[in-house]
Amino acid sequence: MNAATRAAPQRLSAGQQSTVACRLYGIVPAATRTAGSVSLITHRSIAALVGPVPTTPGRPSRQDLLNYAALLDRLATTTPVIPMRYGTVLPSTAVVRRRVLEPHHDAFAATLARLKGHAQFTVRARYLPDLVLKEVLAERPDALALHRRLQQRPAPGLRMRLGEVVAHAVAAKRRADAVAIAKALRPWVVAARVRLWRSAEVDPIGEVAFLVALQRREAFESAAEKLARQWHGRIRLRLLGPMAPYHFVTGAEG
Amino acid sequence: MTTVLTDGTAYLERPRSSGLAEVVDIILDKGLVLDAFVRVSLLGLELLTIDARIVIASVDTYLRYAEAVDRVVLEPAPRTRLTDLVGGLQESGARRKVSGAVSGAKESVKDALGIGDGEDEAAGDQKESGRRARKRDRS
Repeated sequence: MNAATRAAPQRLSAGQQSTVACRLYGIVPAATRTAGSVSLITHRSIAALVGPVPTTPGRPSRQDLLNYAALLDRLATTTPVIPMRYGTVLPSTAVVRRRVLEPHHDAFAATLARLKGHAQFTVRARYLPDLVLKEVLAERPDALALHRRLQQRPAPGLRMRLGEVVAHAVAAKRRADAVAIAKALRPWVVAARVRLWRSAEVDPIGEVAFLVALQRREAFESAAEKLARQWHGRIRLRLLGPMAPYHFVTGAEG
Repeated sequence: MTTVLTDGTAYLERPRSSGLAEVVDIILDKGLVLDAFVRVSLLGLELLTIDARIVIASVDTYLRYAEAVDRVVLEPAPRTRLTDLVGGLQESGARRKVSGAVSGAKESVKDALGIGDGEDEAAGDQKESGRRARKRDRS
């Protein structure tokens, strides 16, 4: 992080606009308490959480990305927050007020009311190494037959077809297993969103984001633990959170 | 692999803080996107976004899967097991499925060109809105 964003709490004045722009972290209730390099621009019941950011272009640093997420995630355990996508920058605080807070006040206030007392948890899942490939080969004799033909006589077209058959079969398994995760934990959450990985790597399945009432956090966590135990030996689950509800605000106002 | 378990968190991985890869996936791809007037002014961000997004099914992906199959089948243990499973009885079934795969080839070309599915699935309107949002980011 650069010197400007590390600086003590400050309000951006008109004079700074040429060199410092306004990074928008998220929208929070007006009564939210902040500390460090961020400050609030309040408008009626809501506020924009902002920090200075230099207008000089530069590739964002690893630490800046981590700080951004950490700040929003910390906040999310105590107050509702609408996280903005990283990189949301406006020319000045006046523009934040005029173009973000004023026109969207009612929608933001409603979203904050909906999110109150909730945070996101994210379950990331992957198969144990090579396990899904072995399953596919056991279930899809066509894939194994293709493989045998290739062993006898290499043929690029056939090889591509083998990869394709297996890739599609793996994708179908990912979908089924990710949906199963969402369904298994559904009783403990308010909402769930599934994202599948379609990666060149075989083992990752994807992630399921859950919006969880903080009051039910323990019940949710033990249900996730139970699920991990149930799938032990086939799928590994990794639970992230509590975090800001990134997956539950996309497109809501955009 | 763990065999003796004494506490309730032995199976579920609980990192104390998220790693960079996880953070990048979430904060660059999710979170609220405002209207077009919000400029993404940090140079390199778009590039980073593309780097972070995992490449969709393509020729290269298929070849990697084929390679992975070679590796798995050539391992001794699964080989015996699989050979047992897939006997002569299933040969005709196999042929049927292979021709099914051929008809899927058109789809795979679309994938290779980047047309078709993204990474988000089963998330209602998430996928579409995400795509629109990305377009806005670039404009």
